[in-house]
Amino acid sequence: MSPLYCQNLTHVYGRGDMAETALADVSLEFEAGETCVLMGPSGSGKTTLLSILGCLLTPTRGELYVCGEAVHAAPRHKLTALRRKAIGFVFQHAQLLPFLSLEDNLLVIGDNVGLSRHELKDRIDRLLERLDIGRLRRRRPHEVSGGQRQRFAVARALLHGPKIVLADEPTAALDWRHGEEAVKLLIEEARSAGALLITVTHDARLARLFERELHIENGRIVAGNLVKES
Amino acid sequence: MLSIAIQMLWHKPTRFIATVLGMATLFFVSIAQVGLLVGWVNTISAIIVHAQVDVWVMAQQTPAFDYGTAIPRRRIYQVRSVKGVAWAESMVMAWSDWQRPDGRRTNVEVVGIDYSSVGAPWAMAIGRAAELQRRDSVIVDEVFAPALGVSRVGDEVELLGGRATVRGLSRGVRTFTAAPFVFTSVRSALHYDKRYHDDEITYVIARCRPGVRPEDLAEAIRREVPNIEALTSDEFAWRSVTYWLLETGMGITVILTALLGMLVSSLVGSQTLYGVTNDHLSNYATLLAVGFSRAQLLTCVVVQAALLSALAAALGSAAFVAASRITERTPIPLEMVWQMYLVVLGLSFLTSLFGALLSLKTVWSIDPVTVFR
Repeated sequence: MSPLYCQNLTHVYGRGDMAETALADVSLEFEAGETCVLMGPSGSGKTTLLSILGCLLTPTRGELYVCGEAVHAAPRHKLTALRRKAIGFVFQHAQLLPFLSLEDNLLVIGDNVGLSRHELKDRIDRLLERLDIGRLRRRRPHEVSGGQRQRFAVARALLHGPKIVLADEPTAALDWRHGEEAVKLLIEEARSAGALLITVTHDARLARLFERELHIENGRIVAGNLVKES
Repeated sequence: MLSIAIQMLWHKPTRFIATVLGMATLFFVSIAQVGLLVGWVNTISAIIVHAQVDVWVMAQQTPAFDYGTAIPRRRIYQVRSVKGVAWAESMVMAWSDWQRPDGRRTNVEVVGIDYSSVGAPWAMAIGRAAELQRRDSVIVDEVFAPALGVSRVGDEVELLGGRATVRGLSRGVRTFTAAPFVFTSVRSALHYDKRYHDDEITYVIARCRPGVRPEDLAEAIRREVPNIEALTSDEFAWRSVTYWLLETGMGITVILTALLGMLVSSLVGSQTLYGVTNDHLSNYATLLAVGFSRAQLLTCVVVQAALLSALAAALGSAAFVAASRITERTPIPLEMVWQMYLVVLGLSFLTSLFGALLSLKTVWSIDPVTVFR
């Protein structure tokens, strides 16, 4: 079963004369464990597509299936539950809660998913060790470097074992070396967890790291295979 | 969510502490006003309540205990003859002019007590209430003793030209008027207020026979004794309280100040909460994106409002306890009954939650898509 599948996804912002089509008839299918990069110029519809795939935005038209469940017309609480269980996010600026320690940032996510304390601690220990950031766990987000913050963001995205990981410009706040390192880490961790990884980036140099490359312009996928061939 | 709510508030400790202190001060202002009101109510009704009689018989249209007017002394015998009366005695409430040993004069309320000492001070610092029946004896309260120029038993003073000896100092007998209470015998009280004749008194106080309800006895007395008014103790206490607090407008002022305190407190809390919410909009959006429900986020805001309110109430209450200890032995005590405390606490929480509405609205309308912008 495809973790993520969409058919003719269209999204229009505004109404009447003010209507603006951000996404037009996008059909995509992804496989579990696949790594994919989504590229395109500013305003091309990358964020809109990522928002819809992440169940943050409901498409104007089209169908979207997440882990086999139809979500294009699902109620808000169902989308919230899907995001909680099936999707992990890595944001541009890590978006860790500044008032919590880095470890607590992970704990609140695990608690919310319903992981037991014991299991949660095990997973955190394992992830932090793999990402080589265990020694920083007691610090606050502002007390570590941008690269280290992104590593914690990766840990947060993978903590609950999601089927899908969506990353929005995860290297934007990092220099090239740290950016590449963060993406490699993300790919490695997603693969190891068997999760589908979709990453949005402006940086063409990173594209080679992914198995699949999608280009979007004016709301349409213009390059890359639209529906993955089996 | 509790941990997130607390840590979010504590993220800027200076603002958090300043807000809690501000809200605590305003809670104290509110509760102090109510404490003042409770203190006044207790002061106004103290002699009536502590006399522990069932029925008060008085001149018609008596507005409050302090403003009783003369009725014929024979009313005692008429009351005693009413079926259901177990016991009845007289009491005089007079006004007089007290001259201190240094010559200064002040108005006093003179309470004339009959032989059984019913209506006398209920707590004595020095001396005994029974001493009042000795000729020209008075008891004053320890709080007002300095104002009356006396300090110990045996001090001599003048009351409207007549001499009197201080036989004791009472404890906790305050006055709502500016004139301190001076206890003496019925006979002496009549001498100290020239408006009274020797065959007049102010009140007949009566107790019921077993099985007779005070309301029924008061009704029977009203029916059988002419030109008087008979009220149960509760009715008379309530009439005195409403006269002072409502007819003079003092109670309304105090209640309005208490409400104003709560309102300003809710505004201060609301402003801070709104500031905290706005500071953390992006964090709320992140939480929404990663699977927290909107209900959880709204709970977070409500918890923060409740927490601010609870801390303010705790600090404000502690300050109130300290203030009530300090004012315990002053003419204006701050007192409290648990029912009124719960009312203030409940109103305070409600106004805090009302103040949180703006923040709740903001959180409700957060779009999780903003995490990608």
